[in-house]
Amino acid sequence: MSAYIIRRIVYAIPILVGVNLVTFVLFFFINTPDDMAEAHLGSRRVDAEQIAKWKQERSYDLPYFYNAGWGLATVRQVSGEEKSMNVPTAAGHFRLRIEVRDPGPGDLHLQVLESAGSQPATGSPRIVVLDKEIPLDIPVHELEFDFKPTQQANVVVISTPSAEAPMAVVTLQRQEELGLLRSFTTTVFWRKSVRLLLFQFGKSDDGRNIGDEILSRVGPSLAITVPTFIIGVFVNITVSMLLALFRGTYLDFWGVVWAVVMLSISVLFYVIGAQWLFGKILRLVPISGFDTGYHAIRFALLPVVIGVLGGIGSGVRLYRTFFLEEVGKDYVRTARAKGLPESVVLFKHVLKNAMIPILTGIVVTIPFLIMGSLILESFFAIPGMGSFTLEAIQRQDFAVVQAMVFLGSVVYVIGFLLTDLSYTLVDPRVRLS
Amino acid sequence: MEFSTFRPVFLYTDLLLLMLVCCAFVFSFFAGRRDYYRSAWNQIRRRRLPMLCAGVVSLYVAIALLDSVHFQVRATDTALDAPQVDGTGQAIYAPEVLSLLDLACSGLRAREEKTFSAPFAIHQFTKELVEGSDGNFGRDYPRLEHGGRHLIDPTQRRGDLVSKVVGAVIVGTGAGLFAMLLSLTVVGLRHRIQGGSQPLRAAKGSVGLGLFLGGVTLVAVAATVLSADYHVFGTDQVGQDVLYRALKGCRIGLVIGSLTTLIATPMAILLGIAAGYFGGWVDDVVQYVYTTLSSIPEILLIAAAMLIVSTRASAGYTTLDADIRLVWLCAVMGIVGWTGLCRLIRGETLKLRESEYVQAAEALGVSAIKTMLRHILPNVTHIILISVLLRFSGLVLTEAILAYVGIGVHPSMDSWGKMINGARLDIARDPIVWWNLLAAFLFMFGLVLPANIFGDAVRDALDPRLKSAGEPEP
Repeated sequence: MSAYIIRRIVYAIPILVGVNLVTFVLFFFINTPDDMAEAHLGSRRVDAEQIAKWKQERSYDLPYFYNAGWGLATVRQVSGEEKSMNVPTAAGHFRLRIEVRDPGPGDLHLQVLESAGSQPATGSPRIVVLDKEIPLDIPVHELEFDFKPTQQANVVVISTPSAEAPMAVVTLQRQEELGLLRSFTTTVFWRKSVRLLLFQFGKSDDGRNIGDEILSRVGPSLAITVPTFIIGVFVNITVSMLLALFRGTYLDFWGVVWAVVMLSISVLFYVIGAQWLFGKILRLVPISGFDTGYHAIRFALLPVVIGVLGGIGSGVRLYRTFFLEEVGKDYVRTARAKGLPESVVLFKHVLKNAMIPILTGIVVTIPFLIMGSLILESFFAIPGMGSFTLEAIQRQDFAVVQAMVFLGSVVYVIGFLLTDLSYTLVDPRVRLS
Repeated sequence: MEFSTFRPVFLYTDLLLLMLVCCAFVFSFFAGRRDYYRSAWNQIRRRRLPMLCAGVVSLYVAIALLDSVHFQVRATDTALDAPQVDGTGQAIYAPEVLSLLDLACSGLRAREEKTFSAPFAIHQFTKELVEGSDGNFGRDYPRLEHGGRHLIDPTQRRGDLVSKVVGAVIVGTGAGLFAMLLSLTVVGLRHRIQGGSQPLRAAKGSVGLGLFLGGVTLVAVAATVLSADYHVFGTDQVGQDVLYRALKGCRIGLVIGSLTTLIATPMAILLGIAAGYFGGWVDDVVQYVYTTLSSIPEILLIAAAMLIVSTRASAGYTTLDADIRLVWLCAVMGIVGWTGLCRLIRGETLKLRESEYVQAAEALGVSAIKTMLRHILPNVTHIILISVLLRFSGLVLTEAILAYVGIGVHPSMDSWGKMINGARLDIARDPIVWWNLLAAFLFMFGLVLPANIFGDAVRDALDPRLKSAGEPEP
């Protein structure tokens, strides 16, 4: 048994790695950090300096897989005017990277100066380290240069001839010694993807600690999902067994029709309708909100009722077919032939056997209870995992969405393991090996 | 004056829908030659409720297809009263892309009010500064610009509505009776000539057809007559007719429900059959891929992919941008949703692989590809058909949730999900604005419920395993 569990957990690792790779490709190749920054900073006319700052704050500026030690120092966007950037006074090996957005005619004038004053405009004597004209018709240039130890401030001055010339983004980077291990760990892949495998969720794009948020939000989520789950399963099994007991009659027929009608209605209507009826007209429960402790019951009541109602249609219809499949089997005929009353046949024989397919469906959902419910939580303003995820989607917070995708797949893998284990409990024919 | 010309516009979703319709025709041609499908169809045909549902769904399909023939109207120069041309003499077309449905509902489109008005209302829902009959200004509910404009006295409304409904009922009954009689005559003649064995059953079918066509005519006539003078489902915040918005939602709902499967199914078939047939490492890889994909929560994966679309592509506001986003949405939902069908097909292929006829084919040296195409694919089609039909309604419902989450269709498109989402705020108003929600509910429910019932009927007819379960015959 334990060997089986260990083997299943080992099998889960490639799946989780795969999920991580999928999200990594989605978030960093198809949708680059530049796109994220643009989406986050709002307007399309946001400039390269702001994007660089945004990425630097969230360490999206690191290389994806291997860090050769080029740490970002400063970014300037040049079009027409003269711009300067201060170089850290410490000596070292530097690199200037010039990217031209729409290559075209024109030259970029680039000077690296050692100046006595901190401002290049003071007119103090300058010693020119580098003085170059760079044509703007090639998209990317890279220049490397060294600074010797000096007391004076070093400045890079850049300018393009006019505003009509192509816009250039100049990045100044300084090389650091990272060592072998750190050149792999100070990368986007490590920080944003591998760390998830160690359950280090890091910070959301607006600076909150995702791990702490999750811990504080699991409670309210469970307060809704656990009662919904238990009551829902109980109601579904009861109703579907009732229909199976009266199979072939009008009660059964109309029961199925009612179940199909129920499942054809979007859960959004249940929420809106119930909020309107119970919260606004009857004023039985608060429309939305949440509270801790004993008062949580008042707030949780309506979401739980809606959660049960929303699942009842599909649940009853499915479980009814499970029951009917069992009812047609030989052992049931034998039980009836023995003279057992129909209720005993149903409860003692059919229910136990129909539990096997029912369990397959529901055990896998148990771990998902901690993920909360997107719709219910956001409608009822419950500060749980679902509303956290939904807000992240709406705010385009990629870090949180990625963490939730990962957590969701972990939960799914656990659910499958639990399903297999539950088989051994209810079905003596199943042996795990 | 020259007749204003137009040019057809083919959106991606139009072409894909056309492809889907072709696929459906090819499939029904293929299925019509097989006893298995023929007997299943005969079984469905005998049941009234599924046939009624099929009729209702086909009405939605008709609306969606009407809404899928797009064109641009040639712009006219109002000063010259002639068609506009650009510098090189090329015709200029109005930027607005219209569909045949827009053309049919041009009245609905044009009759915009200022803001909310209730269904069949002749006064606006909100108060405004209006000039009274005595020349004084006061705050009152103004008369609507279009709704009930033909009524001189507001008290005539009830009589007007009743007479219109009665008219529609008469026309509907007449049309139903006519269709019934026509169908009965055809049945009777055929019985005379060919001597069919079950004339009574055929006659029952004619009655059903008559009732259905009569009902459709009644609703269509009532909707046309009433919507010409009133706003049947009221107007929304910006004064647009809600009925028109709901009609436009039909296409989105059907596109999402059907194109998603068009994108997902080929992938599921290909990988599922390959995994089941070849086994070995192919099976391992396919299983790994679908386990990984299905372990990501569906809505999160869709959300992640749609966030990317909204930051990258289709940021513009033209019809084409909106269309590309819709295709993307279907593609994303398809990529997320193919795993379930793939798993089913793989399981069935594993079973079929061991069957005698496949082994015989292999022994005779039939190539792997041919075996899969000739012997395995036809035997998994019923699984594909069932899963496509049963998934359809779920996808329509998912669209509403995606719209609520804010990752659904393009902002410029009218989907039912967006109507529900918008109606959330209207519900909170006092007095309550309920008609937006009602229209979205009725239209959505009217598609999803019949689709579910019809899907169930097809599954019962095609899946012999469930027949033993003893479904009651109503």
